[in-house]
Amino acid sequence: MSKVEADVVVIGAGASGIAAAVAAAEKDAKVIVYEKGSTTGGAANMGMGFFAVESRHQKAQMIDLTLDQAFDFFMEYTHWHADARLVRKYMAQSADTIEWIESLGVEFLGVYKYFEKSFPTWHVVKVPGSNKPTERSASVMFKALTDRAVELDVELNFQHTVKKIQKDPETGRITGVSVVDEQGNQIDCECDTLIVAAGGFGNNPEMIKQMTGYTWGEDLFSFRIPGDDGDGVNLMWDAGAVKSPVNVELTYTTPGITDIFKTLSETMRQPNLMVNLEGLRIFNEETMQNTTFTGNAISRQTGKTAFTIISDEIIEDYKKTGLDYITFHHNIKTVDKWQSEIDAYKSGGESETAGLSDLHGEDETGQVCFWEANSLEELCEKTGINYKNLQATIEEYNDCEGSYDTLFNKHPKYMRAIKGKKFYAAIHRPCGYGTLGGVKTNDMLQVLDAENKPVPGMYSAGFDACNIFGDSYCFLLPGNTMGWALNSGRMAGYNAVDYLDSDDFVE
Amino acid sequence: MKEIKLEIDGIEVSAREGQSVLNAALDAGIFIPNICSHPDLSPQGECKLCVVELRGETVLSCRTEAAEGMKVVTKSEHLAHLRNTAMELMLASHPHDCTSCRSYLNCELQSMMQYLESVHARLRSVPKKNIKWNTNNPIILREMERCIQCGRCVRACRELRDVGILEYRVLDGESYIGTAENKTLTEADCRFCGACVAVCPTGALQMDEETTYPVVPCRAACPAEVDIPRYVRLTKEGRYSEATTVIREKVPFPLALGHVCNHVCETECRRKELNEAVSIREIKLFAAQNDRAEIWKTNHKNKPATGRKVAIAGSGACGLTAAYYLSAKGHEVKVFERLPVAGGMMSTGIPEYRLPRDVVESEISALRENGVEIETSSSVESVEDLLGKPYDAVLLAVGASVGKKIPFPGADHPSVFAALDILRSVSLGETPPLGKSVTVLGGGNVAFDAARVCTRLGVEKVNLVCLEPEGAMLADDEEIQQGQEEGITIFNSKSTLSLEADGDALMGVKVIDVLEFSFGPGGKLNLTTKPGSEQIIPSDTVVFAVGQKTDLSEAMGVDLTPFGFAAVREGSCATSREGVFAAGDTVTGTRLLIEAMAAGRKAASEMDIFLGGDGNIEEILTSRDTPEGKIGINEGFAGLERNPVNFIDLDERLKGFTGIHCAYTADQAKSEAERCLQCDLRSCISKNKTWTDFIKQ
Ligand SMILES: Cc1cc2nc3c(=O)[nH]c(=O)nc-3n(C[C@H](O)[C@H](O)[C@H](O)COP(=O)(O)OP(=O)(O)OC[C@H]3O[C@@H](n4cnc5c(N)ncnc54)[C@H](O)[C@@H]3O)c2cc1C
Ligand code: SF4
Ligand code: SF4
Ligand code: SF4
Repeated sequence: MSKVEADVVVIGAGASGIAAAVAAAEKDAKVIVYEKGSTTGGAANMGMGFFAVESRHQKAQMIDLTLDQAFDFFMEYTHWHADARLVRKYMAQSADTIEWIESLGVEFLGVYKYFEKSFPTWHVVKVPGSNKPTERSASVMFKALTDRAVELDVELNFQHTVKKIQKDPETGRITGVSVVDEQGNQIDCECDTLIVAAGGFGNNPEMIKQMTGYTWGEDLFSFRIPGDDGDGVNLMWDAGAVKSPVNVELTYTTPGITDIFKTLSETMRQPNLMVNLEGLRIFNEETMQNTTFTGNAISRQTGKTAFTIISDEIIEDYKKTGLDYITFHHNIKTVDKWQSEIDAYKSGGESETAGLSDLHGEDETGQVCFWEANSLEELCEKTGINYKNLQATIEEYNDCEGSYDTLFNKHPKYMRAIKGKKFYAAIHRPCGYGTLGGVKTNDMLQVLDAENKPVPGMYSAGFDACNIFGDSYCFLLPGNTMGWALNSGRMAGYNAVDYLDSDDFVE
Repeated sequence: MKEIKLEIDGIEVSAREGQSVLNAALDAGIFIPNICSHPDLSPQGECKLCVVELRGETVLSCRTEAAEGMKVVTKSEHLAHLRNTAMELMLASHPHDCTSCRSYLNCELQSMMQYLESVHARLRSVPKKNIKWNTNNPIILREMERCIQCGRCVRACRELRDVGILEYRVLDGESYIGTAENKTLTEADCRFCGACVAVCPTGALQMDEETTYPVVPCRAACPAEVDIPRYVRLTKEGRYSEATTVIREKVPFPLALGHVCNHVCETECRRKELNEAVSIREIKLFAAQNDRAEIWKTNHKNKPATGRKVAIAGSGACGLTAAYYLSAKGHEVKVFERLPVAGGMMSTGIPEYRLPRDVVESEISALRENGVEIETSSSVESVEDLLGKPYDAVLLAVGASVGKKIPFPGADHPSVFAALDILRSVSLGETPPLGKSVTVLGGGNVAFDAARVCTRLGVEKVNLVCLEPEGAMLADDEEIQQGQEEGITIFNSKSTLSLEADGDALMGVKVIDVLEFSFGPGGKLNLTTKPGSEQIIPSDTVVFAVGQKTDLSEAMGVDLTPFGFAAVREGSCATSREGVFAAGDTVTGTRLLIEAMAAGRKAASEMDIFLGGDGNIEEILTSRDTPEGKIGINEGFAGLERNPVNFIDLDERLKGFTGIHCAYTADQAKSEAERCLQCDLRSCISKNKTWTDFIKQ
């Protein structure tokens, strides 16, 4: 067993952890980071950009969304469930965080919306040598933050797992952490402040069940980023933090298809007919681009499932006009690969999950999530949708072709009749990026105990401390999870050092 | 070997003769991007990331030998451009989405994307077509859409293992990694060694388990962390004494364990994904029985005397293990045992037909020869009598030696016993006063021990009553099967209501059918029974086998838990009393021998620190030669069947208390050891360093 010392220890080197480490080190603290994986960036490596308001890019693009407007919108959206002081601080810092990142040599492509009805708040990181928005582009930023951390003498330890938080039994102050390295050696690190940024528990089905009620692999098919096992929240709970309600950053998915067969997936996510197992429409499909709202609607249905149904005539239509909804990150505009992807999906043998078999769970292996049929009746047989009801639904739906949607007022241009010689259905299930929350913090990101008092020296940021969304993640201000992660990490880093320099801290 | 000096990015670096520029740079702490190379494999030059400039030309540093006076440049705009193009070619056919990949954050490709700031092809993406081959294998997952065709797996299988079943293949103009004739790994005689998984830089090859799995599952499952694959291999090679010594490095009772260890290791053995677990315990017994040279005796040396004295209360598995390691550390150890024989449950609990007494005696006498003093028929009543008089530290390892009884009406009848009373008295050569028909209450291994002992004592009718339904009993299947063969009648799904007596004589056990049961907090039993299903199982003797507790009281002088076990500090063996430690069943309640031994080791280490030592009780008693990695093809490997355990015939078994379990023959042991996947070979494979490994600490 070896012993080390630091002013600030950061658990996790994902988006919030590395930001916290750099921020604390900028204020001359001696910082040690423990990360379970072998690189930085965590879940955010998959991302492309993050939220800011009133940034210089927004100004340059003549986007007139103000801080006040964004704040008001957000608080209305969350019904003031969120900590208004914290939200205000986060949003107020967000523009500066863009420049903070730029000062590391990172460039931004520009500011984007996530979908038509969202606000342009998504600052997308540019990949050197390319002018195309690309998945994973944010990982470039984490290389830069990592380099900056190294420059500031932050000690980065990879493949190190924190096992326990040490506290002084009398004062309740944080005194250190016990860590185990790759070889299983134990390290005791003494520290005065601790920032826990371990990424939530998206990879821990038991905790998901316990804290959100979803059963992973049965009615939730969320991403499971290896390593996000809930270590952070568990450590904090053990060390006196109070449990806060947890939400899944909800979206929806077609298991075994969404990640792999992009044309198939995107085509089945167009604003066409969506029904539940009873064969009834469940919402205005125009809303499908708001993946959280769609996830919410699907979660209400029998078996937490819904289906989109299209026909060969719709495909023919798309061949001419291209897809209605083009998502920025997948950037699929046409149905050119429609048939070849269906073939590839089917050649996997319908019994075997195509592609990413295991991570999506044993339960998914053997699941078919996309069907072709020569009649609606056959489609219903295959999918289990109530045939009689579906017939009635489609009759009513087709009656509104190209005109007023009497049920949900969907835009006439999306009212495409379901008719033709071939019918296709895809199942949609709740999915999510990660878990939001676990511990409660104040507006200084100090972790609170059951009496609403800070645990002295303990801070949290990122997924672990993400309590700002109320009951539903806010896709309408895009880039909010990474934005929250970077900004909460940055604030926690500064605040932790301020605390060490303050009178509250007694050696 | 000749040393070569060269200059990399203006820094003077030394290299070994024949070393590549890439490896010389990496060894010197200079990172050159690379992904198809690996320190243990021959270079391939596939990925093109390791390009460097040499005399104005670009060359692949993995294929360029370091030469005296060479001047190499590893960073330039031109090189960055070449590397990005190479990355983009690789990424063109790689999924854009990493989020569902198990290698996330532990992927060399992902880390290279960060390092080179090249995350995505500007090129058109080219989805792979041939990803469906060979995706249905046990143990090894192949998600070939993630494959970048670096060929490391092909080289590892051939160069490290001499198995060579992986190859580059071409179909429809697209190349992919597969096996000859696209056979499944099983058909291709894969050894499931995992070398290919270990070297794969992406998430394409994975072990079919949760992401954080122990590389050597059996060893990780063993409470004492015995190096299982190592002794299995040594047994296969006929090196029995060395094999036994490997076991002895962790526990001083290889033979006793060979007979009765509950082998949690086998539950985790990776081989069971192919067919059945390796019969690890039988290999151990065979090796231990055939340890003629007893190498450990020559190689084990007690440390010089420290002058410190330790008293241990209880001579069971825990107490004696601690005694052995404490005396090895130079402390003077004396063990006090209340009963007239040493060995705890090994001598007076576990029946002799399962664990022959001469086996236990021989292993204990080896400890005695090694300096452990044992005083039998000597009970410790209070730590006060020992601490400072003259002992510097005390270990309480008194086990859980009191059989519990549940206070059913009639349970105070003189013909009602606890299983441990029967087992102990038989072990001490007494004859317990049993009647003609015995009913044992309980369905665990202890219940079967008691029941089978009763049978051997000539009881005419032996019944066993338990809450659990058939198929869900706590006892091992082998116990249940053999018990039934020996004539024991099992009443499943029954709860006891009362013990019925007629005057002085016990008449039987009144039971009721159980529909459902569960245990609530604090072990509280929640029960649903079937009204009207009461029945009486006639018997004149009743034996409780419902768990054991300690007989500790306040008088011992340490704090106890509410359930009467010795209270210890979390994660430690220290009791409330400074200098007094407790471990084994005394702390945990009845568990397993191997757990008690592991606890004894932990206690010894902690006590050594308390006594001023370094707490290191690890011993290396046999040479650590690197195992041969080139295991080659073994035809039909996946199908090799488990050798059954040898038991003596039923009528021989019922004749008395002679041991019923015979070791494997040499052939059986060898063929069983042959079945091991040698999961530990993976630990010998190096990790290819990536940029984060070069961050200065
Ligand atoms: C019937 C039975 C069968 C079992 N079968 C198996 C098996 O097949 N495989 C397996 O792995 N495990 C088995 N176990 C479990 C295993 O035997 C125990 O976990 C293990 O023996 C515990 O070791 P210990 O040293 O803690 O206690 P024990 O072995 O119980 O040793 C404690 C010793 O301390 C002595 N003692 C008690 N009080 C005092 C005192 N005040 N002063 C001095 N001495 C004292 C006792 O007499 C006893 O000898 C079995 C247990 C039982 C009861
Ligand atoms: S499976 Fe892995 S090791 Fe083999 S070629 Fe593909 S990426 Fe390389
Ligand atoms: S023998 Fe080993 S290296 Fe070769 S394919 Fe099988 S597991 Fe991989
Ligand atoms: S195959 Fe061999 S090394 Fe692997 S778990 Fe089984 S016994 Fe252990």
